[in-house]
Order: sequence, then C-alpha cells, then structure tokens
Amino acid sequence: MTLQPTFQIEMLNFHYGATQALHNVSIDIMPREITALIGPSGCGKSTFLRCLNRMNDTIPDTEISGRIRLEGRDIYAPDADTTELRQRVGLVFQRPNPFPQSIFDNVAFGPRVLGTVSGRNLQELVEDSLRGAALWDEVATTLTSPALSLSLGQQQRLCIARLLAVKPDVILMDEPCSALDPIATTKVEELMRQLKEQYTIVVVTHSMQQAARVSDKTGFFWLGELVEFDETNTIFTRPTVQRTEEYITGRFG
Amino acid sequence: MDNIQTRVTLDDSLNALTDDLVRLSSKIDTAIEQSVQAYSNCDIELAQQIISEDTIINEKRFEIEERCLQIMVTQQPVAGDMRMIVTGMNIVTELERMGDHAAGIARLAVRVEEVPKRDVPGGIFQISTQCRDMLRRSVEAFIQRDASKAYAVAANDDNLDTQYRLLFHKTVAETRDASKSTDHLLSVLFVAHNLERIGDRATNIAERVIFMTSGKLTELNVYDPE
Repeated sequence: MTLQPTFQIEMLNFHYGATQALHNVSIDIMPREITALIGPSGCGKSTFLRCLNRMNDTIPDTEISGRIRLEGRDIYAPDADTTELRQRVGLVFQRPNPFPQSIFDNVAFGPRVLGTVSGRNLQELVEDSLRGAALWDEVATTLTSPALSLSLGQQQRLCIARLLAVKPDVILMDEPCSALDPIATTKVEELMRQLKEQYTIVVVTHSMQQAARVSDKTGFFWLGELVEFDETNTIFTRPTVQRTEEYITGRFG
Repeated sequence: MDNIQTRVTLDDSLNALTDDLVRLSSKIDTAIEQSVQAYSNCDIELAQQIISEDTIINEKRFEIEERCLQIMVTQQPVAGDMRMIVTGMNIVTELERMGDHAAGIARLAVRVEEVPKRDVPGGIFQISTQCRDMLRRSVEAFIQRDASKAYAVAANDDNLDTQYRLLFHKTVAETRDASKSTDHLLSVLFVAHNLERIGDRATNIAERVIFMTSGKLTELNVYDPE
C-alpha cells in the first residue's frame, strides 16, 4: 500500500502586500516523518510553515493562491474549519510561551476549551501529554507550580505537552530550540524523534546541524522558492542544486 | 569591518590539507623512483635511506589525518567540503601504503645477494614509470577536482596490469633456465608486484576523487585474473 502524504502542497504562492514571499511551492509532506525547512532569513520558510495551519490568515493585506491539502482535504476551502485545523496542526514557537498559570492548567487548557474531557480523564490526559513531551518525571510532584518557574527547556517541552493534549496529527515547529541551551536542545531533538512515531513533524530551523541530526527530509528555501527537497542524507552529502551546496557550506546566506 | 568574508578559516584549512597531500605525494613519488634505482644499482645506502624515510611518511600520514579530524570537529563540514575531507583521509592512507611498497622494494635491494649491478628487465622500469605517472595524475585530478582525469587513471591501470602480467609470465618462464638465479628472479617478481599494487592504489585515489566530485562511490579497479 502506498503511503499517502499528510500534506500535499501544490503551486503555493503567498504575498505580503506587493511582496511575494512564496513562489509556486509544491511539496508532499509524508506522515510520521520529520521534515526540516532551511534557508537564510527572509527566504519564506516560516511563511510556508504558517500556511500549513493558516496562521497567516490574521495578517492583513496578504494573499494566498495554490492548494494545500491535509489528508486529501483542502484546508483553504470556503467551508474549512480553522479551529479544527489548528487543533489537528499545532505550532510550537521559537520562544516558549506558556500561559501564566500552573503547569497542570497549561496542559489542561486546550481540552477544557474544546470541552472534550474532564475530571479524572482530564488528569490522565495531562499526565499522558506530559509523558509524551518527556516532562512528566520532572514535574509530577509540582503540577500546581507556575509554569513560568520552569527552565526555558522545560517550558518548551511544556508547550509541546500542551499541544499534545489536544491530540494533533501534525506538529509544526518554528525554530523550537533557538532560545535553548545545548542540553535542552538535545532533549527537544530526542523528543522530536520519539514524537515522529505518532506525529508528522515539520520544523523550521536555522541550525543546519539540527536539520541534519533530526530530520528525514530537508527542503531548502531561497527567495521564496523551494530550491531543493530531498532525503536529509542526500542534501547534506551530495545536494543536487549548486545553490543548496553553496548555502549549506556557508558560501552565502 | 564592513565586509566580513565567510569560510575563511575553512577554506584556509582545506587549502592547507591539499598542500600537505601534494607534498606527501611528491615524497612518495621520489621514494618509488629511488627504490627502483636502489634495487637496480644494488645501492644499499640509498635503499636504507628509503626504509628510514618511510617512518617519516608514516608520521606525516597521522599528522594529515589529525588535521582532517580537526577540521571535522571544528568546522563541521557538509556536502562538498565533507566529501573532500573524507577523500583526503582516504588518499593519505593510500599514499602511506604506496610508501610501504617503495620501502618493500628497497628491502629487496638490501636483502638479495650483492652484485655490482642487477640484470633488471626493462619491464620493471616501464611499470615504475607508469605507476608514478598514475600517482601524479590521480593527485592532479584531486587538486583540480577533475573526474575525467580520475577515470583516465583507472584506464591506465588496465594497461599497467597487462604489462605486469607479461613481465610475470616471462620471469616465471626464466626460472626454468638453470643459469638464472631463482633468488634474483623472485625478487624481480616481488618488485613488479609492489609496483603493480602502487598502480592499484593510484586507482583507489581516482575512485575517491570521483566520490569527492560527484558523491558517488565507484569501483574502478575490478580484478581481472586474466
């Protein structure tokens, strides 16, 4: 049986006013893989990532064309439900952004809003999510403590736990380790490898070493175009396009 | 500082690596030439010099390997840079082994019975010239990152193998001649064998140059018993 892509993106174009940020990007993102997007600042990789859960919708004077299908359904169709989309496709930000609440309440926030679970089931869901984010052992006895008392690395994993609690299919990560120290980075990377057993992950990173370490596929963006997309191994050993080679070997960017 | 250049440290390191490899290959080239000279002229002094210089070659090999490791650790190269360093590490191993072959020939010069000048078949000199040429051209392919030159080296190796086989059969046939010294004929075979192996190693370098330029791991040196 052929594996169906999680996301099928066809001829995606995106404009901020008169500035075109993405040019005819077409790419399939496969399930239970980590896809890394690399490229210099302003190349369109974060814009692309945010198109995948319609986070750009709120930015005024933007325009999108082309098609993004999530498991076959057009996420920009007029009847598409953005709340459901963002529950299925969660985003982890560059800087951890826990709510100024307890650790427990942060993770319980999504399920409470959705009204999906309560009581004992909610407690189990919070525990499962914290375990899923490899944070449970560190916070099991301090669930009522403020989330902001955690270290930055723990806060980032808490944000991942918060996301897991709403049972997503896809996790988008925008520079998830750029604010973290090397040990916290290693933990998040290890967590990503564990998470890909169940989730599809797309990560934007400035760290080429990180892309090489954690991802299965890598896409190189430049000036809004997807220049090359291939197995990570191939991209970092023998890229096909000269521009990719020049970027990853530090000749420009 | 309004214009900071990127990659200065990495480019300097890669250039220094190339220079080191070129210098070492030149030492090996001389060692091969002199080893055949020492063997043919029964020049024990020169032979001993080659044997003792092999230690310097071995040390230089570790030095170059150390440099490669240092670049990997400090610069974390990828793609073409990474392939070049891996190639450098492979080439330095091949060069060191070529040095061993030259020292092997020098040991034969010392070991076999002393005569003023040996009756060395012309084929030995031809093979020696050809394998040194292959060495130089494989290193040139590396410096110039030229895959077509690398393929040409491999094509030359077939020619060298043919010459080696001719010499081998002729020398084996001569062992039936009671007037010829078997020790001497055996030493000729060993010298030829060492030279033929140097040709194989030049081909290995060529294979690595193809990897460096294209990322493809290729076997050029397919053994043909005939």
